[in-house]
Amino acid sequence: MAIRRKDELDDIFPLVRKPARYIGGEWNQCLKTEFKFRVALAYPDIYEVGMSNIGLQILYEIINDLPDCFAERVYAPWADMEEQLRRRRLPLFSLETRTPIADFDMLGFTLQHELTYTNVLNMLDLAGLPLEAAERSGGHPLVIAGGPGALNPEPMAEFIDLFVIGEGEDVVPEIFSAYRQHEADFEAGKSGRDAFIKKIASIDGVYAPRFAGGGGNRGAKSSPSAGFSVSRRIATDFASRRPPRAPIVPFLETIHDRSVIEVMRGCSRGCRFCQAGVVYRPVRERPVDLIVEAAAGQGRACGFDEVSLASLSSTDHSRIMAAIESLAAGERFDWRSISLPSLRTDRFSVELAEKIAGLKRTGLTFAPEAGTERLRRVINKGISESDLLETAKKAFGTGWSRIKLYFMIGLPTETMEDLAGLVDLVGKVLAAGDEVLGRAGRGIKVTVSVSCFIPKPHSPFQWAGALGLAEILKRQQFLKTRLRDRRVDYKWHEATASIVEAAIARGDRRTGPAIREAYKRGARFDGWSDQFNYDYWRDAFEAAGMDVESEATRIFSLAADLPWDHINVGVEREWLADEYDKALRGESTPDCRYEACSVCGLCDAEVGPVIQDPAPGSGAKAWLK
Amino acid sequence: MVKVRVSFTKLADMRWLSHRELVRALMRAARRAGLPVKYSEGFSPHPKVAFSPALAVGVGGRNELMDLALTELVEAPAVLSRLNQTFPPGIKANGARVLDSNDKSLGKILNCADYACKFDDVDAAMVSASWGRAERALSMPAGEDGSVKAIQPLLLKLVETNGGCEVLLRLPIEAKMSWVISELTAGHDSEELRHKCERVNLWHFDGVRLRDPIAAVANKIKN
Repeated sequence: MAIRRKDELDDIFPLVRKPARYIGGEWNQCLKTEFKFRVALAYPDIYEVGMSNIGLQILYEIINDLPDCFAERVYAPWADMEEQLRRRRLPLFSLETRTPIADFDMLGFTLQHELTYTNVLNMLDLAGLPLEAAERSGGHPLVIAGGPGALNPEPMAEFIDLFVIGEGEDVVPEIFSAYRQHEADFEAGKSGRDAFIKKIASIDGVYAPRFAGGGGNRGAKSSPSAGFSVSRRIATDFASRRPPRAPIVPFLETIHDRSVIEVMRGCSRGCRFCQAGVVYRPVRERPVDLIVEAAAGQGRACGFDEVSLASLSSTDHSRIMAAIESLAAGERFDWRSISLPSLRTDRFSVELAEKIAGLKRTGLTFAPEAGTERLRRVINKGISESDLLETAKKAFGTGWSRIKLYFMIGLPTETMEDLAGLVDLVGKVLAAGDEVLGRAGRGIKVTVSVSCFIPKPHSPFQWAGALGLAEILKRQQFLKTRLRDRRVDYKWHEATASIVEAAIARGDRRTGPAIREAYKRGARFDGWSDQFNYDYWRDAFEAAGMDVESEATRIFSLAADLPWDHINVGVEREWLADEYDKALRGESTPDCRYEACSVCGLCDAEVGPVIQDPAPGSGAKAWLK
Repeated sequence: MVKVRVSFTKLADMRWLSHRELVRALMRAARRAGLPVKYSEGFSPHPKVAFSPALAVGVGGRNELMDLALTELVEAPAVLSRLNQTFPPGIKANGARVLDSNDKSLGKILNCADYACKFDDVDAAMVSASWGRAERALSMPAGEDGSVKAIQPLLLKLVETNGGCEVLLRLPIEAKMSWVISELTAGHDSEELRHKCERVNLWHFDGVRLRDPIAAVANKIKN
């Protein structure tokens, strides 16, 4: 299979939506003619979603900076393109050179979200590769996966040759060193594949499911027994490392559609539902100069006029104000707009708002997550109601008329009282708008986005169960009937999709066959509400001997082996259990960035936080690098 | 404030961009080129730029037009070379002129366009016959006071090719290409009829003759 004629795709493009998804040719794309190793970096969703992923942007640049390596991109073709590819027997191809994916040495997926897993299988199939890792042979690319999904690798273990656990900046060049060292094996190909995989798996942070812990296939049930573990890699010197110099500039409108600068990695807040807050520790802040200079560099290299300061919690950056002031003053580059993702209300200040107020407004987002102070203590999200309302007033008072609030339902210990509290809180935000704006308050818009709690591996709530379907629907209906103000835009997430997400997130080796079954039945783009089909999944899990809802809602006992116990993210399991226990007692844990160290076990002589301007009482100070 | 009119191509893979995507690509290139684009005042500032009418996805262009407002003067040759250093492949600036007070906006002056279309698997004779019908439908009455003659659709050229044909059409700007193409190929089994279409020129017909909106004597780069 190959793209035979240069203009073969020209016959297909008139037949599909947004052909610009498949043409490549964007400014800052990399083209190489001389290289030894060819990598396809794959995001298993459509172009517009994949192009917004910073992780792949970073790896694209790191790999292409290696003189003998060439990284290209590939995204999931939409249904109309897939139909054309299959009908014409054309293989999945890379964007930069339209090379069939099967011709690459390595195919690297980023697993950001469980509902993209069927797209991974579909892309393997469209590339002409066997889905099962065990069935691949010498000529096939190595299939590697990273990202948050790799932190519970077992559900995808039968399809992936190698998982990269943690941050890829250091590991990926090490993998290519291994390629170079074992070039002879690699070139021999046919008999060398397994030995080659084992060699790469000897790199720290790399997990080869077929060969880990003594080799052989793991039993299908539950978790592999203890006896080996793979530790998360943490990028060295993240804080002083330069963000991507020249990201590719998409033609299409993407999710971000602007320059995105990672100002910080890691979060010390310790919200108990949050996996990212645990698995990206320690907090590492980039210095202001680096942020502003990198942003300016991207602005010049790309032609963006908006910049976003991204991280898990940007307003916690100890020098965020200075960064924003510098950007807003336009010292190095003339920015039209600065955006911050979800703001923490307890750090938001009038000055911060005013800094951004002069530029084009993009709307403010806050994430109270729970409707009552009690439940917020349970989840350790320390936002007081008065903080939120004060902040809302400041926002309305400085010219913002649109506010977005994120909530979750199905959190552990949640009752209907907490939902009533959510409704109440929204009402108070509206009232705050009326108070500040008077009659003009009629024009404000509050978007209330309510998702379903998904218990995530490596978070303190990893033992908890998701809420069952019937109960989710009941609570969603409760909110729908009460959030009726004309100014409120209530957005809810498909409950069945959340059930599937939870079932996969908490899955093990038994889950892979269910994913394959669902895929064979037609599941694709499960994260898209118009594509998701619960029947496929319910039937698929049943065919694999499970009940999907039970997999989502089951509660693990603290004594049980968890299917991801062999993945060591660096914090002590006892600390997670302790946090869970405190949650059930309604007790909060302070943020170690400002207060005492909570002894999660991560920081040591080598690894610790990087904070630009540490607060006086900071527990993190003891570990500062 | 200074306005610069730039003509540019939308060729090769750039044909597959929608108008919005093309605009986005052009504006980002302008920013990369360091051109001092003027933004409007007010609550939601946007760049002051105007374009020739949208080309559909799949339709290329050889002399498309953009009027860019700049906060300070950048001479036309500099605009051209700076843009060409930063346009993606398929987009190329091939003409530029600093406008003066006599110049009217693109919206006011562009009233005529030439299109080159290639058809595979068609009967050239049938296409020619279909043109007759299309021509009648597209013909516009002359202006009431008779002083400005409207653009009459013209088939400038029809060439038979291997299994198909190529046409060069001159059409009033309002004519919908998708309609014209479907008219020309009427009677053929159009399940997967392959065609490739480009707008090759945009004109201002002043009632007497066709004018090139760039009319760039000094700065035109050959296509």
